[in-house]
Amino acid sequence: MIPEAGHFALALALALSLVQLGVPLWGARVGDRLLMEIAPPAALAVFGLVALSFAALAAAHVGSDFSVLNVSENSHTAKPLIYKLTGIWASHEGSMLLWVLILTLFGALVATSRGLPARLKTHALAIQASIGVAFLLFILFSSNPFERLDPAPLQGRDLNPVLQDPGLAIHPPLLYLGYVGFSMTFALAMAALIDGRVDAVWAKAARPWVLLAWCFLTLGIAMGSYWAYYELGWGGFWFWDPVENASLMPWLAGTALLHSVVVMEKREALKVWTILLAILTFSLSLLGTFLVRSGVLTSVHAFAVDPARGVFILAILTVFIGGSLSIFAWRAPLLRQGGIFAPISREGALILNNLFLASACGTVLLGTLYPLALEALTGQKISVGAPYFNLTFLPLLVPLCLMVPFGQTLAWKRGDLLAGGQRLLLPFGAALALSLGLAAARSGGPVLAPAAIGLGAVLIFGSVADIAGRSHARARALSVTVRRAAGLPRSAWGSALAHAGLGVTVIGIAAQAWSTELVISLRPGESARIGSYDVQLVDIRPRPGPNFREDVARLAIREGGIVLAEVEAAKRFFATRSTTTTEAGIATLGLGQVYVSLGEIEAGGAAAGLRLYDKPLVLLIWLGAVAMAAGGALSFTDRRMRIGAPAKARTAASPAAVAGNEGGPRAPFGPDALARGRAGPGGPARRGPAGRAARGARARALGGAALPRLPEPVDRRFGRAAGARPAPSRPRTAPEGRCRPRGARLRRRALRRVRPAEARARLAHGRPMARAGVPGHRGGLRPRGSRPLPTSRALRAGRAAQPRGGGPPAAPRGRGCGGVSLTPLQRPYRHGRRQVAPSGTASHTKSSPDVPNGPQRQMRAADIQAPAQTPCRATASAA
Amino acid sequence: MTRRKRRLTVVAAAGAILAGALGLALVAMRDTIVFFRSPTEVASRIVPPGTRLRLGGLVDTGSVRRGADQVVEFAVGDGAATVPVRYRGLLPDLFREGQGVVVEGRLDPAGLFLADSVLARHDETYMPREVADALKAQGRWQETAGTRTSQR
Repeated sequence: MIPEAGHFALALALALSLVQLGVPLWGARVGDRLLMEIAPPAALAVFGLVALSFAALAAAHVGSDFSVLNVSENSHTAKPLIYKLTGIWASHEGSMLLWVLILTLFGALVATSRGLPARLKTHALAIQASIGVAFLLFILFSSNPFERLDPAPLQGRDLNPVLQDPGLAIHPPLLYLGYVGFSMTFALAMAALIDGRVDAVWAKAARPWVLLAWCFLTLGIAMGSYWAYYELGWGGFWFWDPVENASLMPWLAGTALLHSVVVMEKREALKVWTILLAILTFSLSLLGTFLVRSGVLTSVHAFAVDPARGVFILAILTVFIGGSLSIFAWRAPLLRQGGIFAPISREGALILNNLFLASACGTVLLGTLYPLALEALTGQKISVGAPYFNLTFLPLLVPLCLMVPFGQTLAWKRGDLLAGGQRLLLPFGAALALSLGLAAARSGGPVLAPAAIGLGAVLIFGSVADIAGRSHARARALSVTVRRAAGLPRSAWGSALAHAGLGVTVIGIAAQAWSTELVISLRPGESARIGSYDVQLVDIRPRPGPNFREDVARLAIREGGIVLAEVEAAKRFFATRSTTTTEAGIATLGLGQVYVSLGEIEAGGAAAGLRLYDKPLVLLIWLGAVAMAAGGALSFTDRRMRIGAPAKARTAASPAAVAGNEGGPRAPFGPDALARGRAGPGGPARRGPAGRAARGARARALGGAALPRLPEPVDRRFGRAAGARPAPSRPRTAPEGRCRPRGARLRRRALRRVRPAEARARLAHGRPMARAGVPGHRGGLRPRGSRPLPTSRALRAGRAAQPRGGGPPAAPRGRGCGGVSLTPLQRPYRHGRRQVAPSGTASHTKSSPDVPNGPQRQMRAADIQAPAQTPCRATASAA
Repeated sequence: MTRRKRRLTVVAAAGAILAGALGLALVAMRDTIVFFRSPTEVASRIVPPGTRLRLGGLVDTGSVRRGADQVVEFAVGDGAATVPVRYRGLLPDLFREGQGVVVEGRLDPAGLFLADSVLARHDETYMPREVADALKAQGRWQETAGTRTSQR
């Protein structure tokens, strides 16, 4: 009865997913808020139903209900409870159910998250539901886990012994959380395309999901690698097996996405590319699912071929990849270009990073799919193994790793490679010294290993230098530096940790060049030397296990006569499947390991074939991956993730739309909209990050008062420059918005917001700008070499326009007073395709809060002549 | 830096890196791919000695001889021909006579296959696909050997 309930719950989940797919999309189309609001509760209910179904399967497995085909094929009464539980997703059917469970879990998380704009959320949930529908159909029609068996056998066939390991409890769920996590960014990307709004707000909303999926995928891959390392008995950690590649490709694409979404969030650049990456990442996840689940691959993970399933997944793959790319091709040209930046800048470095990662991903894809394509086309069977990937993948990663520290030091928008290079002299020098020292100490060994270790060291030292450079206070007490370091945003620490983690992994992999292997036959009492260790075979004994019996070889590992560790290597025989597995004996000595794999045992335990490995620093491979994931997690907890997106004042109407009438027609900017925005009918966005974002945006929309706590110079200059707008009758005080951090960070962030205005001034002057306005830096806020505004030219223009003799008094002279200071705005600062929307409508035009950004104001003499509206000291002096 | 210049820079960088990656991939493809051969193909001497290849078939019953120093010799056949194989090292758990196996290595001029890796799969009912296909091509495929399994 329970399995039928589970089956029924799955069918219900399918039906409800269809509702979640269709109704909100229709609602968004016709502008019916009620219909749109169906999406979140539907997502929660679908998750509940799938969870019920999963629980039903779990009950069948734990209760050893062999009348269920899936249980009888994968379980056994003698199997320990933990493997009965993990056996749920050991089979194809169960693992697809886990896939869908995690998919709907993400849907439920999105439904309950409060940081997303309402329309985006609705669309994303609908897209998410479409994926759910496809996979629920797949489960129900081609791999139903609740299929019954009649008559029920008395005993099950037991789980594949290789899978009877704690690794199974951890690896697949983590991997799926990563794989499926990218479905969320996919859904968000599609939603943004459908909605037609792709901007920093989107990037801000998408970034946590990218980070989350990436962290899980990193951990999942690392865990799978370690599991294969200790379970398969080959001593290798990565085999370039197609299934491993299938998980590596989304990771590479996801890493690229993680970086490009940052560019988009901070600078609104790379929009089209980011959206494309979000689509590609999930497409690669789907491809991975297809490769693993359809059985087209021959690999250690291969499943027997089942054509119906393969074709079904291929159809899903085609529909989603083809469909999403079509929508992309249709909508992407409508996306507007983002901010300008120089090639040598943080953005430029991140583009390079993306290019390298994408190319590396491409080579892996080629190496994975080429044999399949060749076989399908010509029938020729080839295998593309480690040599191919070592030749293509690694050369692409070397420049990438070398580039990382530079990227970390470069400034946004326009960087100084030379200055950054100077700061990196120390880390690069230290890494070079380390690798030269190693090469000298281990002369005669592999040449590339010290170089590769140097590469890893560059990453680690570069990250340290990054943190140090951000927090170092020249000629100040150490405590100041420490305090600054502690005050750095967590995302800074997270990125440093993740990059250092990559370095640790690189070092761990490089050190494997020094690992040694020995295949030998030993009698009890004899010992063999591997590396600097003596390994002695103590004895060989048979031993019974819960559902197997094993021959255990005990070994003592000595160094200089002292026993460092005792390990047991075993060969297990599972009678139910008449299968043997090898359990490696692993002794962890420091960061390295001695790895013993048991081979043939001669009759009576007289001698045993052994394979011994000395693997120095091998643990670093996985510790580095854990550090990467920890860095991602640290970044995830950053304050930036919780506070609202930096909505710009340009979204003049959006505060009202966000806070008030979500989904409704966008209200034109005006007192009415403002009033609604302020005292609007609430809605979920009022609370939480979005609400705060809305309040912040509203504050900015309310006029030039968005930067109430700005440092003085900025306020004076731009505030007054803006003061000449016609009748700024809006209130100048900002509402209570807690969207700005305090202290130093406040200043930096606030200044960042001012930069568009600054850029405008720079373009108007046609002069290079001094280092972007960070206090303490040369140049301050004024374009290098410029004179205080207004320029004399403007003044002359003003005078020339003035009728000589008589007329109103001369235009006020002095700093930023009155209308004259608007001169910089006389020239339009944007070129090319940028559209300038008329003021008063919702527009995406980039603007700073304090300079009006309507149609470029072609100033006329009359404007300049207009008497100053605010009293000013300078006026007095001019008079 | 105008938008056009920026775009040109990016496109140029992308082109350079992609071209480099493609060049690497093509070179690697030429040198590193390994073809899969059946014992019949190998026995008919169409493969020059020294080329790396994969050989798949069934381990001939009664052919496994263990020598000193962990050297194992066995024969891989597909019913029509057999190829002698020498391998030094530990054999995988699922290696046994009469079962499917894939060995990778090169041929020496005498026709002996020097294997450096032996792959046998992790399920007693699983047959390496290449082996199954080769056997099917030879008409020696028995459906019972390839029953469906749904194990990871």
